[in-house]
Amino acid sequence: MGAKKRHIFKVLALVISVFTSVFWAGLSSASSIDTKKTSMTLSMFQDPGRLDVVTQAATSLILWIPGNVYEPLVSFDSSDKPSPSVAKSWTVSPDGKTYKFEIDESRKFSDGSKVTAADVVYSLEQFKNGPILAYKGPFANVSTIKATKKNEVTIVLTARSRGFFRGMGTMAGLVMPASSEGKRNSNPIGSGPYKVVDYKPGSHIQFEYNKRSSAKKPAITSVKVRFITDSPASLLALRAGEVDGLPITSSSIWSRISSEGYTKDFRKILKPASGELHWLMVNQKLAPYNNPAFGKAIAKMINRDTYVAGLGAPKGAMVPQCGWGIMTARTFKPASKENCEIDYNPAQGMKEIVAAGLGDQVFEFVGLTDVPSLRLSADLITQQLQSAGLKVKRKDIPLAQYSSTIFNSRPPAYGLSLMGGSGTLADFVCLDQQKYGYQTYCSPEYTKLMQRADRATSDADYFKLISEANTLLQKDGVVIPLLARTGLGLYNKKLMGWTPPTIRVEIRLSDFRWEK
Amino acid sequence: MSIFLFRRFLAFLVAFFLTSILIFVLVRVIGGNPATTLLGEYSTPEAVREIEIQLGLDRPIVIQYFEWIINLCSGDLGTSFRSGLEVNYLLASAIPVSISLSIGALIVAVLIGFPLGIISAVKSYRGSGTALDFFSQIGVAMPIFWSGALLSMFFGVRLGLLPTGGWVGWSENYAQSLRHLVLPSIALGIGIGSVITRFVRTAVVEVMRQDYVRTGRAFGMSEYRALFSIGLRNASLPIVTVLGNIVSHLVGGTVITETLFSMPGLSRMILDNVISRDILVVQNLVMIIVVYILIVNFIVDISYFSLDKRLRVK
Amino acid sequence: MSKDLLTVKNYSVSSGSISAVRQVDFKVSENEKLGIVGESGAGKSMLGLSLMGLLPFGWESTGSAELAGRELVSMSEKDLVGIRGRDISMVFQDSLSALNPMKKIGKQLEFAFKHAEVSRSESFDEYILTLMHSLKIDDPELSLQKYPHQLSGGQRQRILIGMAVACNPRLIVADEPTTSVDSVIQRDVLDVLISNVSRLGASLVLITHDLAVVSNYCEKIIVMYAGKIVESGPVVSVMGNPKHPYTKALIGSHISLKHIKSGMSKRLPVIPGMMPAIQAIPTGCAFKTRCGSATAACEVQPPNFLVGERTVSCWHIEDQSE
Repeated sequence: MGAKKRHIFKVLALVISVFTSVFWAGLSSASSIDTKKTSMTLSMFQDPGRLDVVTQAATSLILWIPGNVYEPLVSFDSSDKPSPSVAKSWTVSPDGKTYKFEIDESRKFSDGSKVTAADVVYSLEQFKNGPILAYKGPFANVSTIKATKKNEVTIVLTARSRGFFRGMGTMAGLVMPASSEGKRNSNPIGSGPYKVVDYKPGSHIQFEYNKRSSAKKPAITSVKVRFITDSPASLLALRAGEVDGLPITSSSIWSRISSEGYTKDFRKILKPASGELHWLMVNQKLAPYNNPAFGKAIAKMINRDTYVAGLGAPKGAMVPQCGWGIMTARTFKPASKENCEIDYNPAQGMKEIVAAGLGDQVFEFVGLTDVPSLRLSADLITQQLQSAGLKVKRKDIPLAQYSSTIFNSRPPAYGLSLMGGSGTLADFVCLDQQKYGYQTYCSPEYTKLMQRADRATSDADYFKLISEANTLLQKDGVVIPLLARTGLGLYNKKLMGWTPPTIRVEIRLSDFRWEK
Repeated sequence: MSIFLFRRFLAFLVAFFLTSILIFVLVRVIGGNPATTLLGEYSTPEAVREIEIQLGLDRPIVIQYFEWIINLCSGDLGTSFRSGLEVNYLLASAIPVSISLSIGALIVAVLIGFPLGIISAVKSYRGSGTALDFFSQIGVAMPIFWSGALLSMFFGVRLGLLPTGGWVGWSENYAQSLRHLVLPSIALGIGIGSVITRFVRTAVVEVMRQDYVRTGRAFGMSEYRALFSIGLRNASLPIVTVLGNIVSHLVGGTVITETLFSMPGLSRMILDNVISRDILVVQNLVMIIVVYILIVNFIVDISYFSLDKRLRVK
Repeated sequence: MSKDLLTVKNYSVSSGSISAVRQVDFKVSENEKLGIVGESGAGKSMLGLSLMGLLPFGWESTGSAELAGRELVSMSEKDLVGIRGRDISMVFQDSLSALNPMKKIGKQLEFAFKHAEVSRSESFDEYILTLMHSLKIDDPELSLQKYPHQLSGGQRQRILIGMAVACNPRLIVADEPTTSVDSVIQRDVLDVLISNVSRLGASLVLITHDLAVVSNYCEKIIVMYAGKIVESGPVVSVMGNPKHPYTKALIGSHISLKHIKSGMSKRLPVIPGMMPAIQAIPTGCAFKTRCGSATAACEVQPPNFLVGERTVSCWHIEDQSE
């Protein structure tokens, strides 16, 4: 009897061990990397036209070049902790005004040359003196950038600045060889894991693994980014398997993506908010819009949930947004009862308009005609304001005209306008009216708050001050946040490894891999 | 002949200058400039101003016009502000794509247009002719973005036979180039083929009605022989005159086709530059197309002249 | 009496309910020259085209037309292609439109000559040149290199004649061969036509509205009115002593026309009224509306009365003499 029992246990043990081993084998094969498949094709709606990150700030460029071809001086992880990158170490003087970066001399650019302190100085000067305001921001307090040793760069600031050091992990801190001057448009050279081997305007960018990079060899060594400007065509290419992923889909095909089952058949990636906002901008220099009651009343007339639903985006691609200054995922919070200081109450809003003596006033609302996502948005906003009882006249202008008006006329012609893009708190700082910020708003109080935040010595201090500035902006009725685009990407179900961006909105090609 | 040529050439010049003025004005009416578009919403006014000076956009409008025309005539198409590359360099890669597409579409159009036009002419009094006529009407009216999408959905997605878009240079892999050319050529060619069908039909019906066709048949020429040896040849004359029409159809159609099939051709280049408001490049590219159409019409005039011997006597 | 080459019986050409030629009967013998006269719209040209099988779309012939024993009415298109040019050929009226404007004369002749029986002693080119001489075309080699519009009307018409006679046809239908030609050279052109017809020993159906031409060149005449043969017979008897009121009127107006041309008379005695259109041909005698001697009897279609060698389709033939 005892022998029989043992026998049964033996069999049982065998069965269990076979079962578990098969089970584990199954599991591991399901998640194993397909090492034979080392290439992928992604699609992009726009051709950046030129690949120079110093002079071109288009999303179509920032997605591909910064995180893959270049490396920043310092890199920040998702919790904002700095780690070595081109600079293998750094020291900060006690007053926070002098930074010494030790350059990692073992790093090489894709053309084979060594990364030197001179290259770093050259790169930082490029962004500091470049045409793109957002990249100049971190250098606002920088007085000198010098190569103090062959492998040491010393940067002296006029005041302590959190923005500077954080900026060295973003676009403003990308490092490129001085010899690349004049060639970056078609042949960017960096120390990142990939190099551009072919750029055909209107057609594609071809990336290959940069063997000279000190980064780990990526699973996918060959990446083609195709420009497919026609949105339905890009969906067809995805269905036909010619393209393995659409990183950011245009909002004009959102309804198709949902209705035709793309989100079922493909891996859907909603990236965390990374600065893509919709907001209403109230001109603070044009009567009657600059009446403080106006902006606040308008904010009460907008139902953010209805607005987001009206855009027809797949669930989660956009979320209502009350806060501002969401450059990092850390400070981003979707709108809720707790953080939305202004309730949706159109009747109350209209009452305030009448109380301010603006009841009979006809307001002009400016939408942008050639940005499709903003055109539908403008329709929705006009609808909401009108149903609240406000007399609103819709005015459509092209983006190019809008931006040129902002730059050339003081004060700008438009009272209430819809904006989209990566608005940041720093944009409203007005150290110098001629140079900075929206000309529609210049508050010394706000600027002072932001400067104090920049000089904060602790994180707690910093976020407290930022939050105060944010509140002030809303209190003044300057901006009315509507939503945050969390972004949407559709990928082949076997293409894995997408990681959130750290430099700006880049897609890190080296993290992707094919699963078996 | 020389007087005829001279007069046509004069007309060519007048058309050239009138269209150049029109384009120059229109491009400026669109509004915006490359600086603001390129630098984004957060660029500094100084940077914008600097670019405007660099592009010569700050100068008097009349001077801008003449500078443009002089540069254009001397073959200097300038530098694309958007890409920082020379327009000539960009054209060198864009033009072969557009020409390939145009030729492909023309081949499809001729393969569709001539046989169907002839059949529809021969059967013009019968039901099948009317049916063909009806289909050619549909073909003319069918928008490319619709027919193109259907084609790539069927051949690209459903059957997986051909790519839904994109382009591979001829020098890289000509088999791939051909594969990439098939669907766009058909999409663009259907409409033009339908136009040709209609012209061929009318021309052949008209010619076959002529007395000399009857003469040929009176001396033992069969109906089909008369159609091919007299009808088609003589019908080619009126068809040549609509070649200009067909070419403008082609040029208009390539804009949509190149966008729909993501082909890096001339039309796409124009569209990209319109979006980025690179007006100097836009006006140069549009002018190239205008000159192309003018030259085609000029050639059509001359070939009409040499094809129709009667014109020379008159 | 020579053999009949073409025998036409109860022959009509119609499209639906409309008829251009209505139940005609006639014969053409070998070596015979038959003139068909009548006003425009009388159905002469349609008769000529129908014999060639070249009717416009929608038109068809019924009855019988036998050419040397072969029935033309029911003949297939393939067989027609075989006989056109070789057994029966045609000289068209407007020489400018009848020749392909885009081909050189030589090229166009070549096709017509394809089936020509060239004797062994002669080359193809020599044959063409001989023919060109017989057409009285000056400088034939040069003319062959020209386009139709570069030749004169007379030359073009001669070329058309040349094409028609190239393959020794047995019957030549000449449809108003001189209308597009200057009156001065009409005679030359006709001479060329007749001499070639005689040379080949062919028969000729000469369609014209010019009575003088018929009386000068033909042996027999057919007078057509509204698709019907109203009178036919030897030229001498019909022209000398017309029986049908229409023939009389036609001859009368023709003579007066000649007189106007020569300045002898200023009066223009035309036939009153107009020939009915083919869509509106009245019942009975079609000429009754314009006829001075019409009576109630004319409400019935008169049969073809035989008067000597001729036929007359009229109820009122007073004089039965030849």
